[in-house]
Amino acid sequence: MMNFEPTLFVVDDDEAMRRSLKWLLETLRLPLQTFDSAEAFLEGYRGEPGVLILDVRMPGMSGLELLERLAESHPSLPAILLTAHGDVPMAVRAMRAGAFDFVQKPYNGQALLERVQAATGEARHRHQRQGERDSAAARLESLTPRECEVLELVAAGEPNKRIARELGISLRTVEVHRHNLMEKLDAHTVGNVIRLYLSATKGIP
Amino acid sequence: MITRASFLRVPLLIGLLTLLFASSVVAAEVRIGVLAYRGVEQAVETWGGTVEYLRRTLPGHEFRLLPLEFIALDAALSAGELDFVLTNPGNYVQLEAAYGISRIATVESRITDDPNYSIGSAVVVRRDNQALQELDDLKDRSLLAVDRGAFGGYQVAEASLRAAGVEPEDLRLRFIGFPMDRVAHAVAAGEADAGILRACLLERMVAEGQLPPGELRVLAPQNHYGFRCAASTPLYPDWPFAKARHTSRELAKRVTQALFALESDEAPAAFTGWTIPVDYQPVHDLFHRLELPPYSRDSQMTPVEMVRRYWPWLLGLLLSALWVVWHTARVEQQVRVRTAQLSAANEQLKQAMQEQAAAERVIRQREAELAHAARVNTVGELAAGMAHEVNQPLAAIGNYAEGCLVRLRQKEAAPELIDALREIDTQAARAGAIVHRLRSFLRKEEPRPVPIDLNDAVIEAVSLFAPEAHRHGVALQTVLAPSLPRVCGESIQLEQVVLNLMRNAVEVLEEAECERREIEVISARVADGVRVTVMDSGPGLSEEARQHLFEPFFTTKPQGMGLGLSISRSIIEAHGGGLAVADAPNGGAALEFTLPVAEDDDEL
Repeated sequence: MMNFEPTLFVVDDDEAMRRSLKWLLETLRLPLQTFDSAEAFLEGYRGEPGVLILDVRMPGMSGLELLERLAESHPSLPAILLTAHGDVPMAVRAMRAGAFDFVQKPYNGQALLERVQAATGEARHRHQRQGERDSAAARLESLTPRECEVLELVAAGEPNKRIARELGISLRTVEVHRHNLMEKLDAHTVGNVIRLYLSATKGIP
Repeated sequence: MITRASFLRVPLLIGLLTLLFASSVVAAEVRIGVLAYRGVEQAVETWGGTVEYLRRTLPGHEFRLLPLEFIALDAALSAGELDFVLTNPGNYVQLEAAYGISRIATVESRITDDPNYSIGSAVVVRRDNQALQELDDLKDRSLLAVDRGAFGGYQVAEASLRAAGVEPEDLRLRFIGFPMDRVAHAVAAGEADAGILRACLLERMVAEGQLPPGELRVLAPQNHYGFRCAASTPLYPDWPFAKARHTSRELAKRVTQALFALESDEAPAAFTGWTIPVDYQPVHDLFHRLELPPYSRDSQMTPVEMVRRYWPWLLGLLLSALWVVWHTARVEQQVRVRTAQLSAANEQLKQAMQEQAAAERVIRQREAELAHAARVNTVGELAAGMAHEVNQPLAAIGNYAEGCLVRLRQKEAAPELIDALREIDTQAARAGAIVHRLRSFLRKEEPRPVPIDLNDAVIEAVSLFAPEAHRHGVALQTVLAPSLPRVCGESIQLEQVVLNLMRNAVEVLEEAECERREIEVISARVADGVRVTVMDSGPGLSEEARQHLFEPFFTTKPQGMGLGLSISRSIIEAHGGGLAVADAPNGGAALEFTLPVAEDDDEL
């Protein structure tokens, strides 16, 4: 989990572009896969963490359509869209569709590398948070229903007295539940508990 | 001297002769005029054999016998119409003096042993008219003769009558005209007391059964040794065969030789053959005595008298000459007019052709300019796709270059870089090719058709259009005939047409929002040339669209001027081909054009 390598996914119908992007992006020493169409990518992609480098204009499914498709199934895959210079409406649509970044052709190779590196950072970050979210969710799973009720009220910032009154239990019982759930969630402070709860339930970091 | 009837016939005859002459200049004809004193039939019967003989003997010439009376003979000679003349000795002497004809032979007659004594006159009376015994008995009697110009038929008799003391004024003399036979018949019928016949005519008429024997008798017959007919007068030489002045000596010589060679058994009944010309001096003496031309006192006629006497003749000549002059002038005038008309027409034609050529040049120029403007417009509309197309290799070059830089910084092995640098080169060439293609498409040049392979134009157009198709997510496919005969045309304009057809197809697909977006460009050899078809997978064309498709500014698209197809059709028609709508097998629309094969390239 700690030493994962994001994969670079290059999707471009132009062979010269695919090969030259491969040549350039190989210098980042990351796993790299190329696809000649959006359809081919959807077929081969198994949800691996990584960065999508995507040509906007392709026959069949366009880059934007792919992006919109991925927003539902794999929202954590940052995408860099390659667009034609001056195609502002396309850039706007790309960002709205959840693109991490867009690069206008012709571009500076150095700039593209920097964007891709930024995206891989984001990918790592997203992956990490996804991991945290996943473990938080798993930990929440281990709570009893009563502990969950107590956690919701703690996360809402209610003091123990109010929680006890709300749930119709004794203050002591609230304190026991609170201790147990902090143990289960491996959270040492109330702040940690709140963050974990939010990340697991609302996806907020 | 001239009868009334002859008077009227003269001008007509001369005109006729002129026409005859005009119509027969080409044939090498030898014309023999013969005095037809007994009529045309008799003349042909008497002399036809000789002419036939000449025709046979001298095959190089077309001998023709022209039976004529005095006046006509005279006129024909004066018009130079005759090459030879056969006439009586009296007439001969006159014509010799007047036209310089000269005898080349004298006929040998069966009626006499000596051609020097052959022609005389017989004054005939009815046998029962016993009152007439001598020539001077004819005083105050009615006497018929054929013509004042007749030799045996009058002149010889006149001389004898004068010698006998009978002047013409003492006679009731009447000339009744040819043929001479009429004189004999008239006397026999009692219409006159006597008649003058050429000697031997009476005997011949009796022999021919035209007169009953014994009906007429010859007055005061003289005894002539060797002469087989009765005559009232002395005898004169026989008919000469004379050449006209203009007739060549060579021809005259050959005719003479032929005449002399005529065997007696080949000759007709009337004479036995031809001999050397005899002396016609006795005839001259006779004419001298009679004061007849050329010895007449009035032979030196005053012009006034000449005009008075010969006016119909002169008039005929004058008319004839006038006709020739008029005709010549008219022909020349016509030639001039027609020549002028022709050269004017030619000039007009040349000018019209030049104007048309210039107009066509202007039209071609305009069309080329319009086509160019349309190409500029097209490139503008294709700009986005073109930019993308140029961007691809540029971006690829950027990628390779940056990749190389990074590797160099990381001190990586050089061999790897070589491949990348090679790729850079390739991609630069690719970008260059696109720019080049675009430039040639925008090239503006003089329309100059050359034989081209339509496949090349299709490939070029498809390359140019591919980015645009790509941009619209349209799959572009080509199905090209492996080899095509060349067509004559301007490649850029034909490229433009193919490109326009593809643009149209893409617009149709865009409009119809089709799931399947495909365009197929097909080239094929067909019966009437080479065909290029652009087919789309769209819904096909509506009836309205089909009708108006090629009209300028007709468009179903919100963007676009609607000029593409109209210009395409102009281009194809200027190339001698046709652009038409067809049905695609997949239900879509198909636009296709056919161009005739270049003339020198039909080997496929």
